[in-house]
This record gives sequence, C-alpha cells and structure tokens, in this order.
Amino acid sequence: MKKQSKKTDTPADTEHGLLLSGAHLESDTGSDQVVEEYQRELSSSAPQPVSVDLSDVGSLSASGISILLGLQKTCTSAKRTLTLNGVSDHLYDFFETFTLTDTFTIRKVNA
Amino acid sequence: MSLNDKHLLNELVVESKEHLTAIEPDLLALEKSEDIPKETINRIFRAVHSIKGGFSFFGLKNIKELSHSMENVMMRLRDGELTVNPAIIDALFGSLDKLRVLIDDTANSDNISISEEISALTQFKSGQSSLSSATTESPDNTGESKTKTSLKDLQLPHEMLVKIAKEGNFIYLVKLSSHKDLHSANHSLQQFTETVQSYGSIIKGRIEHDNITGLEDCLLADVVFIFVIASVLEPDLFQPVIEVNPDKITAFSKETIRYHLQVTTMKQEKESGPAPSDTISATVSEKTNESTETIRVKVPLLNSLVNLAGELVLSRNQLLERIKNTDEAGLKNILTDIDMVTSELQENIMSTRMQPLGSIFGKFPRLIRDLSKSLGKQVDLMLRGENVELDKSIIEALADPLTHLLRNSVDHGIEKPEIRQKIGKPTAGSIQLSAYHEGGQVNIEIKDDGKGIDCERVKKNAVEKGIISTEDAERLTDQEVFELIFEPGFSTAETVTDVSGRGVGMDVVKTNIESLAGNIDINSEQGRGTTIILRLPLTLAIVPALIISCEQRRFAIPQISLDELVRLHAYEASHRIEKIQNKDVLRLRDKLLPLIRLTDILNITPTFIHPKTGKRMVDKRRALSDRRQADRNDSKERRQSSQSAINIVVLKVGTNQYGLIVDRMIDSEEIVVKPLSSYMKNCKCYSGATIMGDGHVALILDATGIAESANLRFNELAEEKQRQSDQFNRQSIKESQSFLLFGSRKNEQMALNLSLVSRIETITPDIIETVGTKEYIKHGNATMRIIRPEKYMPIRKQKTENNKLYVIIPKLLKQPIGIITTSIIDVIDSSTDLDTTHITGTGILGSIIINDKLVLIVDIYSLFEKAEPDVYKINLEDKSLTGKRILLAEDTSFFRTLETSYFESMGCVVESVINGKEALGRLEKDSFDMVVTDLIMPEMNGFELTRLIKENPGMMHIPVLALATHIDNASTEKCGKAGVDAFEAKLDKESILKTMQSIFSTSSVRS
Repeated sequence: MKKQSKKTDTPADTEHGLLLSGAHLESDTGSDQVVEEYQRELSSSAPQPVSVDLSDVGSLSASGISILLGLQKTCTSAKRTLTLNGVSDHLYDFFETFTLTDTFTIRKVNA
Repeated sequence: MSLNDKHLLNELVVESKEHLTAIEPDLLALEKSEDIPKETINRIFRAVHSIKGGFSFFGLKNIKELSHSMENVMMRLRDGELTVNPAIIDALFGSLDKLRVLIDDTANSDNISISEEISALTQFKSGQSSLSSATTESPDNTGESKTKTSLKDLQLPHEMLVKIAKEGNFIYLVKLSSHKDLHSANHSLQQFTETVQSYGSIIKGRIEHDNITGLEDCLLADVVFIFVIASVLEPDLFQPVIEVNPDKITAFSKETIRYHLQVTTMKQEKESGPAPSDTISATVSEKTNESTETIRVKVPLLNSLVNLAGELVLSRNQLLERIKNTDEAGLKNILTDIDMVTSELQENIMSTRMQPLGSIFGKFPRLIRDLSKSLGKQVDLMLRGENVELDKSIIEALADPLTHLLRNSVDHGIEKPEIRQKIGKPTAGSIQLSAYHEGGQVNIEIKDDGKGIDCERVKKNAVEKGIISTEDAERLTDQEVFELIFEPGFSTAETVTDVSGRGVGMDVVKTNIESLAGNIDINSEQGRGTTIILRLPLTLAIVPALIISCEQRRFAIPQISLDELVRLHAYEASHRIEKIQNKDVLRLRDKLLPLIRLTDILNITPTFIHPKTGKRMVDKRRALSDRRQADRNDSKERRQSSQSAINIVVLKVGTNQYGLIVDRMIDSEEIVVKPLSSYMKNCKCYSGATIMGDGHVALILDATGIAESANLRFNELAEEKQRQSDQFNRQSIKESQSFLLFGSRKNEQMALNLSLVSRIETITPDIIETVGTKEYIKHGNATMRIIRPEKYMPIRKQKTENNKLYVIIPKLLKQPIGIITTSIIDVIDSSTDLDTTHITGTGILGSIIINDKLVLIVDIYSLFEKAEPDVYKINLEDKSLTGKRILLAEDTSFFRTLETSYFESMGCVVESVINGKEALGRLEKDSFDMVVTDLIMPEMNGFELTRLIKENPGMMHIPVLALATHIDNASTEKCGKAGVDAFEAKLDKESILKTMQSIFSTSSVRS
C-alpha cells in the first residue's frame, strides 16, 4: 500500500476554489498555451485555493512537471494553496520517486 | 595508516590477487581467439579497473599508473583500434606479473620500477580514446571520473544497496536537462522512463528546479531530472539502450558497490558493534557468474574450528565408548542425536576448508605457455576436474609438485614440433591435467603424448650415478625403472637448464606427495607418452583408518595406505610363507609379498598367549615359517586356534606392496590426526598420533617409513618374481578367487566373491527397523534395505550369537541391499571349480568345497531380484541379446560358469573355450556375434586374441568385450591399444549386459 501525503488530510481546502485542467500536461507540445491559460485563470479568480485535475493524466511530460512546479511557486507567493487531484497510483509513484510528495499536496484518484 | 585502513588495504590486496588470477586465463583466451571476444576484454578491463580504483584510494601511484596503462590498451582492443598480437599479449602478461609483484609488496610498491612495463604498453597507447562510453566511477572516487558524484552522495539506503549487489546490478546516475537533453533532442520524459524500466528500475530521483520562480518562467528555466537507476546492463550496453549522451551517465560498478558496502559495514561495526548477520552476508562474490553469498574468514579461525571439531569428535567417541552399554531409557536416543550432529558439524567444518583444484590448475596454462615458448615447443594443455575439491593445506602443498611435473612434461616429454612432425605426431604436443575422485580419494593425472621414458637410458644413468649396480639394472622391470626417477640426484636431462636437469625435483615431488599421505605412480610407453598419477586423501585432519594392535598397544593405519587384509591360520604358514634371501615372503595370489613384523620394526619383544595356560609368553620363533615342534601332540590344536592366526595388513608404497604382521585388526574408525611432538619427529615409522575413544593415544603408522626402516628393497624380489612369472605363463593358469565366508559355522556356509563386498558393518538387532515386511537400517545418512538370506534362499535360519549381527554391504550395484549374517567366518582364496549342477535355487550360483566343507556361492543378482524385483529385475523385454552367438574365452572354470549364466539369462547362445588360441580356432571355423574374453589366459591372452581378431579382415567386424577381475588404468590402456570394444569387471553383471546391449544397438545402427 502506498503512503499518502500528510497534506491529503485536509480535503476541504479543494472543495471550493479554482479548478484547473491537467489534460495537456502529458505532452511537451502546447505547453505555452497551458501556461497562458493557468495565468489567466489565476489572475481572474479570487484568492481561493487552486486545484489541478490529473484524473485523466497517465504521465507527465518534462514541461508538464515544470508547469506544475511553476504553478506551485506562484500559488505559494500568492498565499494560495495548490492541490493535485485525481492522481493515479502510477503517477503517485513517480511523485514519490522524485520526492515531489513533499512539494505538492496530492489527492489520489481513489481517495 | 589507521587500523581500519590497514584492514581495508589487506582486503583489497586479497581481492586484487583474485582479479589477477582471473585475468590470466582471459589473456590466454584472448591470445588464442581469432576474433576479438568483447566479453573477455571487458572482464579483463573491469578487473584491472577495480585494481586501479582500489589502490588509488591508498595513493599507491605505481599500481594505479600501471593498471591505468593496461586499461588503455584493453580499451583500444575493445574499440577495435588495436588487434590482438603476441607483442600486446606479452606486454600485458609482463604488466600483470609486475602488478602481482607490486601488490605483494604494497608498502614498497612505489619504489619498484615499472618503466619497462609502462613503455611496453605505451607503444600501443597512441590515439587513446575515452575510458568508457559511460564514465565509470572508481571505488575511491578520486581519479578519473568526470563527475564528482560518489556512491555515498546518492544516499541510498544500505538495504537497497545490499539488494542491488545481490542481484548483480550496476548503478547508474543519469542527469537530464529539460532543455538540452529532452526538448532539443526531441526526447520525452515518458519515453525515457519507459525505456529505463524495461532494462532496470529507477530506484531514486530528484528534480533540480531552483531556476523556476513561478509560472512566468517555468518553461524558460532549465530543470534537471536526476535518475538513479539499477540495471544488470554493463556500461557499454546501457548507454546505447537509453540513448543518452555518455557525459550524462555515471556508472557505479559492482566492485564499487561491494566496496562501498564493506566500508559502511565496517563503519557500522565500529560504531555499534558487530553488524547483524544478514548485513554481513551482503558481501557478494563474483567468482562465478552466480550471485552467491560469501564472507571472508581468516584461515587461522577455520583451523581453530577444525581443531575444535576434532576435539568434539574425540569427546563424542569417548562418550560413546564410556556409556555404550547403558540401558537408561532415552539416553541412547540423545547419544544418537549427539553422534549425528557431531558428524554433520565436523563434515561441514571440514568442507569450509575444501577448495577447488581450479585454484591451482588456473595458473598452469600460463606456465605451459611461457615454458613452451622458451623451449620452442608447441603444447596444448587440457584441464579437467577443476571443480574437484581438496583440503586447503593439500591444495597449497600441491602447487610445487604439480608445477615440477608439468615442467618435466614440457621439457623432457613433449618433442620439438619438427621432430613430432617427422614421426607422424601432431606438431603441438598435448598435456592433460585432470582430477577425479576414486575410492574416497582424489587422483590427479598428468598425461602427455611425448616421447615417454627411455628405460634403457634411465638404467644406464642410474648405474653411472651409482644408484644401482649393472646386475640390478638387468633384473629391473619397467615399473621398477620408473621408480628410479624418484631417487635423489637422478636426472636424464642432457643439459642443465632453468627448467630441469639439476637432478633435484622428482625425489622432492615424491617426498612432498608422501608427506600429504598420498602416493605417486608412473606409467610410460616409449614414443607414446607418460602418465603420472598422484593419489591424495581429501583431507589431512580427519582420515579413515584401520585400528590394529601389536603387543597390547594400539596403532592406526590410514586407509589410503591399505590394500587388503589377510588372515592366515597358523597351519597355513608353513606352505604360504617362504624365505627369499633370508626374508619372509607370503605367496598371495601367485605374487610374492615381502613381510615385516611390526614388533621387529618397533623393537618390541613379541609374545603370545598360550592356548592351554592362558599365560602370555615370549614368542621365540625367529621366523614366521619356523614352526617348531611340529610333532608335538598339541601342535594341531595350537595351529587351528584363532590366537595363533597371523594377521597381515597389506600396505602399498608407490606401486609396491608389503605385508605388515600385526596382532589384531580391531576396527576401522575416522581418526583425528594430531601432529607428533618434536621429540618424535625423527621416528619415520609414525606420521602422527590420534586419541582413541577410551582416551588413550594411538600412534599413526607410516607405510613408507616402515618400509624404509625395514630396509625393504622391492627389486631384490625381482629375480624370483621373474622366475615365478615364467612358471606362471608356462602352466595352465588357475585364477584363484577370494571369498568372504559367512553364515552358520554349523549349518550352511555361504561365500561371496570378495570383489563384490564394499564393507561389513556390525549391528545389534535393536537398530533394525521394520516397515511392512521389509527391514532397514541407517547407513551413513541414508536408509538401507537389509535382507536375511534364509528368507529367499533354500537354507536354514541362522542363529544369532552374542546379540550381534553383521551386515555385508555389496558394491558394483546401483542400490545396495545389506545381507544379514550371524557370523563372518573367514576370507579364503580358492581356485576350486564351481559346481552348478547339484545345489541350485534362488540366490545360489553354485557350490564349492572349501576346507572339506560344502560352501554355497551366493548369486547376489538373483537374490536381490527376488527381494527387490522393481529395482533389480533385468529388463527381459529387451530382446537385443536374444539369440546372439557369444564366444566366451575364459580359463577359470568359476568365471566361465558365472559368465555363461549371465549371457544365457538374456537368451544368448554361448560357446566357451579356455584360452585365446582356442578362441581363434573357433572363430576361423564358425561365425559369432561377439567375443567375450578374459585378459589373462594360458597359451594366448585376451590382448593378443583381440589384436589378432582386429587385424584379420574377416573377423575385425566382431565386437570384443574384455572382462577382468579388477579394472585398472594400465589394463584399460592395454585394452584400448589392442582394439577391445569395451572393458568391464567380471562381477558387474548389470554393466556387462548393458554394455553388450549398447554394442549391439550401435552396430545395428551402423549396419
């Protein structure tokens, strides 16, 4: 059984807030558009919690990881919380191998 | 240097020596190989690299520099920039030898010149390419790696490293930049991880993302993905598979991982006491391709364990002796357990000292290469039996004698190529060095196809050197001439060279082998080659021995020196013991055996117990055959008395035998050999001492030393032997058989051919266990079925005497069954004809008359077939022998009857004759499917018969099966030369019939 990140104990943080799609994080192509879209959504929304839906994402591209890391840093500066939702076991293993489970708040797909 | 560093350095020296040993055969293979065997080059490369890395850590620059130069040459060979040639191999061998010198003397290594080796290697160095496609991290992390990351920096958990080492994986650190390695190279991270996972596993990762400050620059900033990967792929395969620039990969070799584990384990031990056993066992040996767990243990510790095991065995024996007659319930079971555990413990401890002979065989290919090169000869060395194991002390002591014998083979034996070509031999001579188990000992054979020993030259040389007289020389047999080679100062080499001719060596070889409780034999045929056989015990610490007594003192005789035991009734002494040159000799199976009385050698006054008074009296007889007062009334009684019987232990010294007369043969035991005290070192009759079950010390007799003390000159018997031999050949030969007599003294007596008996065990009825209707005993670590003959044979029940039973364990059988008897009566020789007509039945081969008494000869094959039909029933459905016409040439009536019964049982039609001449006559008149022949027969022996058959175009197609009572190397070789198709032991019915079936099936396939 995989260990859950401690931060997943606070699911209420993501119940209301900005929900971003993670659909294009699997590929390196079109990354610029994703960044622009995220920036737009963030600036137009209230300072509320942010979550990215990764339920349809099987793997992350190098650009996808960079975008999530950039998003995490932007949210931290803006004192907004970021949660990665619907993370598959396979993807969770990847985060764990690269010790990203301490960087992100992760909710697994079956959580 | 700290204590810890010293310890590490010692470890490194041991490990590096193993690497050097492993490199040598690979270099030889490289020299012989026509293409470039990449794996061989890689193995050499890795071994040299490990040496370099290890010693760099200690700042030993000469070792580092020399190994680095060797690496460069290996790398160029691997990359195809150089091709293998003798100059490169010579330079590499030269460097290897120098590395050995440096590693043997690490403290002084930087003062030893390596310039010659370096310059020899440097000539192949120009155009040097990079060390490896993937940068390989050396164990010390000091030298050549292009990245400073060490295995320690990866902070991998110890358990994970243990697992990786156990699985034989390499560790790779791969750093990928998101811009340069992924986006620009059109590589996706997913693709990369999937590829890695099909060839290994990502065990750790990290992403360096400090450059990213937020969403604004996340795609502009370079992110570095760091992967730690475990994979079985070697560096040169890993890089092309993952398709990443080599600069991005750091490889950690298996040696580095092992080294790291050793260091961390030692640190843990230092900090928190000894590490748990599972941590220690993590050290992984790469001696073989299998991953086996090993630990290095200091030899003194093993020696101490062996000694303690020996002491435990002695204490166990004493305990068993002391309370063997106890009736206390439960105690016997505990004793049995202690007995078993002690035996197993002792066996296991002894096995820790066992080493494969490959550890010394491995150095000989190089020796032969260098030697043959310097002598201008071509020699192929074939090694067999490298996995045969011997005690470490024996292995170490064998290195010099074997080296000497091999050097002799190349120097004296193998001819120069031009001579070999002229006499029709292949230009390259061959030397076979093989090891194999035989009869609880290990034989090492050195066989060459060179010019063989010139007996005339040896004799002339021995006479010139005053070793023998001219008269002696004329009398000597070939075998005795070969023995002269072992005389001190003997050499036939025409010139004194570095290799041979100094007249020292073979006597030292013999002395060394005998000091290991072994012996040495030579067989040679001029023009065909020489075979030298060393026979050695498995271990020197605990050996099987016969315990005998002489004048109430007990002695042990190692079984390796024993040939047989003979018991003569006093009344037989006068006609079987004769005087030749005023010395007692025993006529044993048409041979003359010199006799020595142990009392004479040890200077003990012989005594005997008077059968009537029971008093011990001084034995005043001057000779064994001196039977005084033969007309006295009580003489017959005295001579029948078992007290008056003469017990003779037949001992072997090289190819000679002599009989040692002792009072009693007590038992056979595994004895723990203890060295003699310095006061007794000069007593050459003893080779050591042991402690018996009752706590008394028994001295171990040395067969060679006793023969020397008795001044026994075997060649003095040569003339008489020759005379006997002539007589033997002139007469019709009556081949006598040795029989074990057993059964009831009053009722039926049975006999079994002694060649069929493996051993006799004494048991008490209470250890017999019954399962269903069958009875079993524990034999060694296994269970053995035992049978009572009266259950299957038409004889009366044997009555148990003294609550004691004997189990006769036969040999030459796939699954021996023990035969129970109430008494063992005697071992006798008989050449009486076998009567197969009057007494017949299951388990009865026939009957003979021995000492005026009717004795049934047991047919174990039919007895066992009745008792255990599933195992012993011969497959009668196989009709391949049915109707075959067999011509049997056998002069001994007993065997003629026996062998005829074998063949007839399979449906063969048998015609028998009594010598080779008659057989040839029958073959000229009639047709036969096979000739089965005895080897020793009057008129014409089996060798001559076979030779004539195989030379005759009309008969040469007939297969010839030779049978002999004993199979030895000399007979096997003679049979091969004569053209015999197969050679079997006369009493091994199963093998004989199988061989016949196989011969017929092969010939039917051919036809």
